[in-house]
Amino acid sequence: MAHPEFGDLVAPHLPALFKSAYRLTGNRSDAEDVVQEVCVRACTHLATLRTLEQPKTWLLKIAYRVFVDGVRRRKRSPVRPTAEDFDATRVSGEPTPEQRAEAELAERRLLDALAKLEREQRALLALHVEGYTFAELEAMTELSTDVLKARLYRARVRLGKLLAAEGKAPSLALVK
Amino acid sequence: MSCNDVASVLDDHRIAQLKPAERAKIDAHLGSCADCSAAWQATSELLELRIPAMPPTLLERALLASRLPQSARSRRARMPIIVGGALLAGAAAAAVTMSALREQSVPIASSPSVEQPAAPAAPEAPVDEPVTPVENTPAAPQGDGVTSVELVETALSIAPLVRRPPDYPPEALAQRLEGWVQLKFDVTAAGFVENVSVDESSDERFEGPAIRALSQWRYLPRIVAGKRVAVTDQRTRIAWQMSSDDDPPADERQADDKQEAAMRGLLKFSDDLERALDLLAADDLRGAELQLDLMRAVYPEAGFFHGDIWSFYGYLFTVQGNYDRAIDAYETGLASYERNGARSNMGPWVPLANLYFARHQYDAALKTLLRPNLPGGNRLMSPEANALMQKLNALGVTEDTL
Repeated sequence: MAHPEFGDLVAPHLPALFKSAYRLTGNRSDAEDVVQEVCVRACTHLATLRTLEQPKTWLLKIAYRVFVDGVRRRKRSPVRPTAEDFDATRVSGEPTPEQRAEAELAERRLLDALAKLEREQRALLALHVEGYTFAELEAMTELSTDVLKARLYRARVRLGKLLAAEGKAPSLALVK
Repeated sequence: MSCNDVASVLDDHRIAQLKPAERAKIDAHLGSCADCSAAWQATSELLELRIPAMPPTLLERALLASRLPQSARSRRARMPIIVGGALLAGAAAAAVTMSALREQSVPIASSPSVEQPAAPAAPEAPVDEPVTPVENTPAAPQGDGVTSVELVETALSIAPLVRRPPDYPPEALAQRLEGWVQLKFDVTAAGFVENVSVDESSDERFEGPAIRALSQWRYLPRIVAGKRVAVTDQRTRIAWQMSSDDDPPADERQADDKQEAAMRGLLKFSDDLERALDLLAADDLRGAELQLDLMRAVYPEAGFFHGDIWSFYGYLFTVQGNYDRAIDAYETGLASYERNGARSNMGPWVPLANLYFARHQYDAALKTLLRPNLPGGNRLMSPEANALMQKLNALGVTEDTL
C-alpha cells in the first residue's frame, strides 16, 4: 500500500541482484540481507530510481557499496549452501551422489578462497563474472576501466593462488 | 601470447568462444606463467559456481524491510510474511501516534493501541461549535414520554470510532524522520469525514498520507435534539514517531508476535465497527444492531471490546429514541470498561449523563459525570462534560447536594 511503484521498479531486477549478491557473499542468507539492504536504500531514492534508464546498474552499484563498505561486518557463523539450495537449479542429467559431493567440495573450496579476498576484490570478481561490460562496471564501481582491469587481474591471480594453496579440488573418485 | 592477451580474454568474457588454435596458444602461455595460470583457474571456477534459486518471498521481504525502521529491519525482515500492508504501517515498529485536537479543547479519549500525549489544561468556557443540521435526517425520535427529546444530545466523539493508521512516507521512514500534520475537517451526519485540509505540518511529505488516512476515518455523528447532524471545523493532529533504538529485550520476537496479533485483532474490530457504521449511515438501525449482536458474540469480554460495543448500542438506541435501552447499554458499557480496566475510546459517560439530564434525573447525571475510574482522572476535561456540569450547577445540583 505504501509505494506499489517501488515493487514494480525493483522486482524485474531482483533475480540479477540476488545472483550478484550471492556471488558477493557466498551464502544465501547473507545474499538476502544484501538484497534487502539495497531495497531499503533504493527506497529512499525512489525519485531517482524512477528516472533511471538502467535501474539494474544502479541497484548493483548500491549492492557493491553495501558489500564493500561492509555494512554487515558482524561476524556470523559461516553458512554453507546446502543441497536444497540448489534443487531448483539442478541441471538435467541426474548426477551421481559422488559427482554431487565432488561439486559441493569444489564449491566449498572456492567459497573459502573467496572469503579470504579483500572485499573490493571479491566484489569486482563477482560483478565481472556475471558478464557486465566495463561501461556498466564503471557505473557500478566508479572506477575507470583501466583501474578495473588492473584490479581484476590482481584479484584473479590472488584467488587462483588461494585455490592452489587449498590444494587441488579433491576428487572422491581418487579417494575411493 | 602475452599476459595482456590472456587478461583481455578473461576481461571480455571470451573463454567459451576461443578457437582451438587460440586456446592452444593460451595453454602454452599458462604453462609458463604462474600468475596467468592462477587467474585462468580462478575465473574458470568462478564461472562454474552454482547460484541457488532466488527465494520466492525475496521481493516481499525486501519491500517489507524497506518500510521498517533500521532498528527493526533485520529481525523483522526474516519473519514470515503473514500480515497485510495495512497492518505493517500500524505496527509498533513504525509507531504512528495520533492525538485528537479540537479547537483549543482537549483530547481525553484514547484508543487502546495508541499513545496520547498528556492533555493540556481544560479551557474555562465550553467551545462554541458550529452545528449544521442536515436536511434529510429521519424524523426526530418520538421519545418515551419521560425524556425531553430536545435535550438529547451527544457530542461527536473526540476520537474517531474507526481509525486507519496512516502510511509512514517511505522516504521519511528511511531517513528516520519524524513529523506531524494538523488537519481541519468536517464530519457529515452519517459520520464520514469530508473537506480535509492541512492547517500546518512539519514536513509536506507527511501531508498526503495524513489526508488519505483521515479521509477514511469514521465517527459516530453528533446528536442534537435527538437527531444526527453534521459538524464542521474539527481538528486533529497526526504524528509519526520512530520507535526507539534501545536494545530490544531478549524476548522481543515473542513480544512482536503478541503485538502483531493484538494489532490484527484491533483492525478486525475496526472493520466490524465500520460495518455497523455503514448500516447506521444507511439508516438500517436494525441491521446495525444485529451487527453489534454478532460482535458481542465474537469478541472477548476482556479489554475494551465490550465497552465499545455497548457504547455503540447506547448511541444506536439513542438514535432510535429508545432512551431506556440506551441508558442500560451505556451503563453496561461503562461497567465493562471499569471491570476490565480498559480505557474508553468513546467517552460514553458524557452521553449517558446527558440522557439522565434529558429525563431530568439530575443526581444520576452528576453521579455519572463524577464516576470514578475514568481515564486519567480528568473526567471533566471535555467541553461537553464541562457544559453539562455547568447546567447541573445552574440547577443547584452540585457534588455537595448529592
